[in-house]
Amino acid sequence: MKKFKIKRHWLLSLTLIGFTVAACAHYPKNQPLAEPAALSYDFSRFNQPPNADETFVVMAFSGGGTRAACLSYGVLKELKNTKLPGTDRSVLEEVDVVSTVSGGSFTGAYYALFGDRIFADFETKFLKRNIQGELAGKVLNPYNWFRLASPYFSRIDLAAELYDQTVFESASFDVLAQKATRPFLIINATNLYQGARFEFTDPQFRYLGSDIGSYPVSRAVAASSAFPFLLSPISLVNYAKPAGYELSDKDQDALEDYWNNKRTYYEVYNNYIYAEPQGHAKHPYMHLMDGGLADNIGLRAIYDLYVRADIRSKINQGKIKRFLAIVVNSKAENPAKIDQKESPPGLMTVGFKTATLSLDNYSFETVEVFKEMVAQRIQDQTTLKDCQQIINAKCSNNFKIPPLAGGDIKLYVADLTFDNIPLEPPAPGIKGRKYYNELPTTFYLPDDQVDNLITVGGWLLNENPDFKRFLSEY
Amino acid sequence: MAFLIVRLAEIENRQDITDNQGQIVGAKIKYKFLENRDLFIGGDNQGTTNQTVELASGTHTITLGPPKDFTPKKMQIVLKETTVISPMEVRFEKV
Repeated sequence: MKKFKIKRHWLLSLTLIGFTVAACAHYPKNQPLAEPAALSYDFSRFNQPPNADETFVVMAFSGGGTRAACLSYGVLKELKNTKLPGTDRSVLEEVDVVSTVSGGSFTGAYYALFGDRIFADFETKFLKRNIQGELAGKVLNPYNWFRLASPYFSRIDLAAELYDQTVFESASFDVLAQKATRPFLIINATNLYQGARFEFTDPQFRYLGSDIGSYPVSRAVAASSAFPFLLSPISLVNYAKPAGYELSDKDQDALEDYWNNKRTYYEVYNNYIYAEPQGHAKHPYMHLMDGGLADNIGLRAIYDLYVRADIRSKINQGKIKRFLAIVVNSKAENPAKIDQKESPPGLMTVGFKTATLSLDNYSFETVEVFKEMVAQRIQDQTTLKDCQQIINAKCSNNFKIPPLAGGDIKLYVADLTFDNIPLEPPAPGIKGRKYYNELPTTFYLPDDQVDNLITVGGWLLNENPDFKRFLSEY
Repeated sequence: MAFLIVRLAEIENRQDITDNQGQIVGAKIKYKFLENRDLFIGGDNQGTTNQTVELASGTHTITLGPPKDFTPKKMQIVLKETTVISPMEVRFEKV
């Protein structure tokens, strides 16, 4: 009887502790914006090093778990080893913007925070670790069962804690803002409500009346890589806006563009519903998931900068002389051999295909749209020159066509994907395409696969015709 | 993308057009395009006047850099259906 009483006390105490832990468990909230002061974590403030604009290099790191993190790391490593012809600077030193999704966010964020240190310790700190195993260990820890019982704490918060403690050293966006040194990092996630792209930058946080400064980089990376079903969404609070807050002129113009430019209209409208005067009451929270749901390449953020934001302004001001976009796309083939059997695929396969097919098609189109936009600029520059030559030859009035703002820029898009690899191994240390295409999307890969991906990242860069042209025309 | 050219202009010569009764029915105005000024579109510096600027199609609010000796003070336009050799032309007048 006494033994039972002791057991009952233990059980009661444990339950009480459990309830206390569960009651205290809450995800770390984003902080409200005290006043609409000058932007802090915004590309316009990232002007170091000097003359950074002349050779303007942007990079997009796609999703794809550790496979994506390794491939983008391999490309970074090769950029560091590649000198700009006639200079002692590496191409890596010229990188101005890195836009990342999911697995690619780990590499991008680590490089933005710690610079060249990535080449000393990132492999051991992240690439060669069994992150998903460690996460599973956290979920199985009884202490965390109680925390997970709270409706305000979920698996993604455990993941963010793990990344914060073991990878990103508790760094917040203030650390990046204070550096103000390029590359400017854009971590992309997806707003589950609209399926719209959400970027972890100061202008985006302002729509939520929130200050990005104190927000942990690890939580942004966790949101960016919150793969549906395996991980839960990251939540943000939409606060009432401080006195004096108003939409920029550019955003106000865009809201009038429903019939003129729907792309611009929706880009702003999707934020406006949070930023409007009663937005915080109508939409008090935002839930974010894997950036791949909106754009699995990370190129949309760069597209927006190019079309209507800072890159456009720099081109028109004549600051950019050459522009290189490096797209690191670690898309792999779905291993399901559905065309090998007469019987139709099962529910799981159909479900997986349904979830990823449109994503893959959209990713392909995103890259192609970007390439076409860049090609159009080159064509416009040529058209203008050709017209002037015809006028000079046929007319005697010395008429000069007004020059194009920014002049003759050299533009290149290096699209790095496993599809660029031949079926047969093309070089020592490089395997045939099938090998890379069959690597799974997980947060653990054996060391040899990690090494192979890093090596092929460098090979893909060096073999890319546009990257070769960028170097030869430098 | 779409193309825009903004001018800061001054009237160089103005000739009224009259009908048979001597009523003024219009005017022939010759403008002189002035020096390059900084161009601000949606609050961002987008180069200068007298050059063709590439922008997203759609609504834009345009103004010029200092001195503020022009009219109107700002202009809202809808930019579309242009090419690099036939940009939309917008004119501010010096006062």
